[in-house]
Amino acid sequence: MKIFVLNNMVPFMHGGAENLANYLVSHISQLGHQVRLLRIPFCYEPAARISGEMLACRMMEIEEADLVIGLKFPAYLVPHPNKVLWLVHQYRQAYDMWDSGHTNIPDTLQGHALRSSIFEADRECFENVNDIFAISPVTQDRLKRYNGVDSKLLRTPLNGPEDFEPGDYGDYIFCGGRINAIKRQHLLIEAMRYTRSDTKLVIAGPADSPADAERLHRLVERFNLQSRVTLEIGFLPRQRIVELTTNSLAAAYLPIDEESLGYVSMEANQAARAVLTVDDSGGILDLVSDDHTGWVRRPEPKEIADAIDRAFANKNRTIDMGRHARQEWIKKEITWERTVERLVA
Amino acid sequence: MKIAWYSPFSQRSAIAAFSVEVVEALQSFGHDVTIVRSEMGDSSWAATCRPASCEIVDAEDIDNHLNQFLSRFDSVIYNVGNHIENHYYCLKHQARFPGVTLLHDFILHHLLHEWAILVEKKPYLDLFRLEASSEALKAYAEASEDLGRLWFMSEATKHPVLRFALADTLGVVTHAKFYAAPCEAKLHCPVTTIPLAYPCEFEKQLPPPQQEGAKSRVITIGDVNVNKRCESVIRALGNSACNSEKWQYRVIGNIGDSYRKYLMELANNAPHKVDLELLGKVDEATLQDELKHANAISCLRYPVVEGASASIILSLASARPTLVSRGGCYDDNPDSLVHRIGHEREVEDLEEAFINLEQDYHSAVQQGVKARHWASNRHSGEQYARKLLLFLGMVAGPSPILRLADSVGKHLTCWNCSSDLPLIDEIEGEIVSLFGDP
Amino acid sequence: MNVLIVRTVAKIGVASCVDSVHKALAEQLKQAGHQVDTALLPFVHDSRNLVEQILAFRLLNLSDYADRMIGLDFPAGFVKHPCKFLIVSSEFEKRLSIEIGRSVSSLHPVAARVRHAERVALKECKSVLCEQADAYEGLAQSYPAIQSSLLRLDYERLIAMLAESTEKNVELLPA
Repeated sequence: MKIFVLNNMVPFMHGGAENLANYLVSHISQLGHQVRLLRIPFCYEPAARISGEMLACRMMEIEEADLVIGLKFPAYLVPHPNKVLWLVHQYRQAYDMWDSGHTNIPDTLQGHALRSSIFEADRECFENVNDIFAISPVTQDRLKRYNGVDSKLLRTPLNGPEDFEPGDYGDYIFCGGRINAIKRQHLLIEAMRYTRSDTKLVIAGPADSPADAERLHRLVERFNLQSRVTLEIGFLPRQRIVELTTNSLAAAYLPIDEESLGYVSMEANQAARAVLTVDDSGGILDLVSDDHTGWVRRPEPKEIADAIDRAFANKNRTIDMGRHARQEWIKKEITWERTVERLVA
Repeated sequence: MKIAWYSPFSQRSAIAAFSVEVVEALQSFGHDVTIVRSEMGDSSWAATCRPASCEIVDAEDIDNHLNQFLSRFDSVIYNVGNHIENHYYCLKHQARFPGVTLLHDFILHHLLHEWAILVEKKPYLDLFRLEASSEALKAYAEASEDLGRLWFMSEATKHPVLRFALADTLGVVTHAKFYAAPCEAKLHCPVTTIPLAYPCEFEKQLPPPQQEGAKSRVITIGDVNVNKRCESVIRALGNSACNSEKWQYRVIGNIGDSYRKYLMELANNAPHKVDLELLGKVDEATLQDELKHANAISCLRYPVVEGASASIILSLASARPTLVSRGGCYDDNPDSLVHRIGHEREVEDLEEAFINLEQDYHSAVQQGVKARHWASNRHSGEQYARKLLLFLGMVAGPSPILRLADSVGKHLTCWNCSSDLPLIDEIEGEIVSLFGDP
Repeated sequence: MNVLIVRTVAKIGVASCVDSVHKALAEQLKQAGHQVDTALLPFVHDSRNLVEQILAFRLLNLSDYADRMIGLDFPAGFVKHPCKFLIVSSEFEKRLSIEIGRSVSSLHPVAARVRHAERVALKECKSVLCEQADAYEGLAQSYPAIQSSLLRLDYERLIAMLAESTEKNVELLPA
């Protein structure tokens, strides 16, 4: 089969969606298909330019493909008679983020018109695709709520799961991933000051801004946690992430209402590590079952500290929970092979 | 349709005669034509003017408000030939306001040469190398000692230059098939071939020729130079007693003294003396009289560089047996209607042709009458106008730009975009600047 | 410096000389210490929707998102950027406007429009660089007014040009 994968690109910005597209292409290819990734620029500032970028996608053409897989708005507007969507993102600033006030679309007549045209362009697109898969229940809910469209859940698989084979359990809780206020690493540091003295925390990953890094350093100093909290801030090679994950006691991941399960938690589960999270973290709650595969607490430092203490107080129990987490995760069959099979079916 | 028709329009210009034929036909179909005279204002070619049944304006007079003037027309036609004084404003205005080109000459080296000197103030070679192949540049270098003859008369004909004059054309009409493909290849625009229209009312009325006196007459019409192959005709007639006895050769057209002397010596010193008359430039009545009494007409050329030949149209319309070269525009004439002369065996073929004509002149005249019928239809202003209108329709519409605007409009409407969306103005501007005016 | 390479992908599974140019160019740019990213756009060589696709490329909004843009061949050259360079890597005969003539008909009215658009896009470039002599000659023949130069895989020179480029656009010869 000849397959094109349609993704957006903001020049010089790389994130999870870019990795997802690369892995998708790689795994489609491994299954014997011919595949190319298309990277269509989408620079959504200023918002007034968005209509033109939508139109650009709508007027592009794709040659001689048996299947096109669209991932994000507006790249998925590129027409093709045999198109499926694996929906990573609609333009959320026209939908839920508009409602929550986190949008770049102005609250003016022009802004409302733009929002309406995004709705209509999505409607036209969704009506003309063969199938719609969504990467998370949150994405599914949003699609249903705003567009009245049903979709199938197809979660993003873990990339390179074989790297995360369970190793020896260590003496720290590992929190990986991008560092910023939305990911709430600061909440973990604030919790650490209420924990018993033998607990340790390692936070590692690239900071979105120097201020994000500085904030964590300041908290560690302020609570005098230098001996128990390690910060490895910066872009780390994959091998280092693997080491930190597979040598930890457990993992923690506390984002604000994230759509996906989160690579950090999937990697932890693959490595048989229990995961600590909070009850407003979104997609990850489909993975963490309190006191079975991890801990779910309210986003309060003292409540989080209680979970950390429990993890260290009964390490055998923590290790058992990690093993349960791995079993549950593998049962879900969220693998690239299954994912590609469903997309190209 | 409102058509602006750029053309030279002097009494001397053959392209002006062609223009009269086609413009009248266009008018008869209900179209509104304005003739825009393309000659340089100070050229002697602009001194006279043909009568016309439509408005005539001088391109020079609209030069300062060209867009304003031309935007009221549906189509602009540019007649382009290999002569700057006649076609200066075709080139100048076509670059600013693209239209359809009627290309009268395949070889435009003289035009380029004059354009380089007069307009660009640069050596010919500087412009030539911009679109010349390495092969052409090599040929030019090798001919540099004899540019006038070796290059312009021979080598340049193998290396057409078109882009300098036609880069902005919307489409090209050729008058013979042989240069349609090179035009397409070099200009990447729509190209079609329409046989040249040319007035031949007098010729069409002539009675079929008869063998009147002791000798039959073969004539050549037009400025006399090596290209017209008069030498070969003289040699063919002088090679045999029968041909020299039975044919007189009459050459009608301007001739230089030295070339006159050379041809006379050639005729007198031939194995069998040739009865040669070099009439020089003659008036219209004399020309008509010569045609009337001609038994055959030689329309030979080498090399064949014209886009079309008015001479052959006149000859065929006159029902006189016509001797025609191979190659170029001459190949568009069916073998069954002409007497074909190859270049390789030019003298021998001519000898044979003269003998055959003498032996069965009756059949040759019958063939000539058929050729008259064929040429009268093929080269009429009416057929040219019909085909040109079809071509204009194809070039001008369905306009890809209007379809693009429709497509954009369809998408934006589907998305509930209102007509005051700033993007619409932006797209309109982008379309015009990118693709030209719709 | 942030350098954005823009190229198109037409058919899957058909190797293109643009692939090798792209790879080598990106590598050398990185070695020279530049950030490199690539936009990969779809394109279909079909006269029925050529002008739509070309307009689509014009509507992309990249002006503020890269210090320099390098288009690899037409139709990538249609994308707008205030500091655009164009590499003509393929044989000239394979270029866009000529393919129209081959794939449908050169009589198609679209052909003249595309040539117009190409001329506009060429004029926008800071520099037009041809990989090979045939492309160079072809470009000079089709667009005599556009000044281009031969690149011959000399990406160091191109990188130096990127650094030195000013507001001046591609040099125009008298047409």
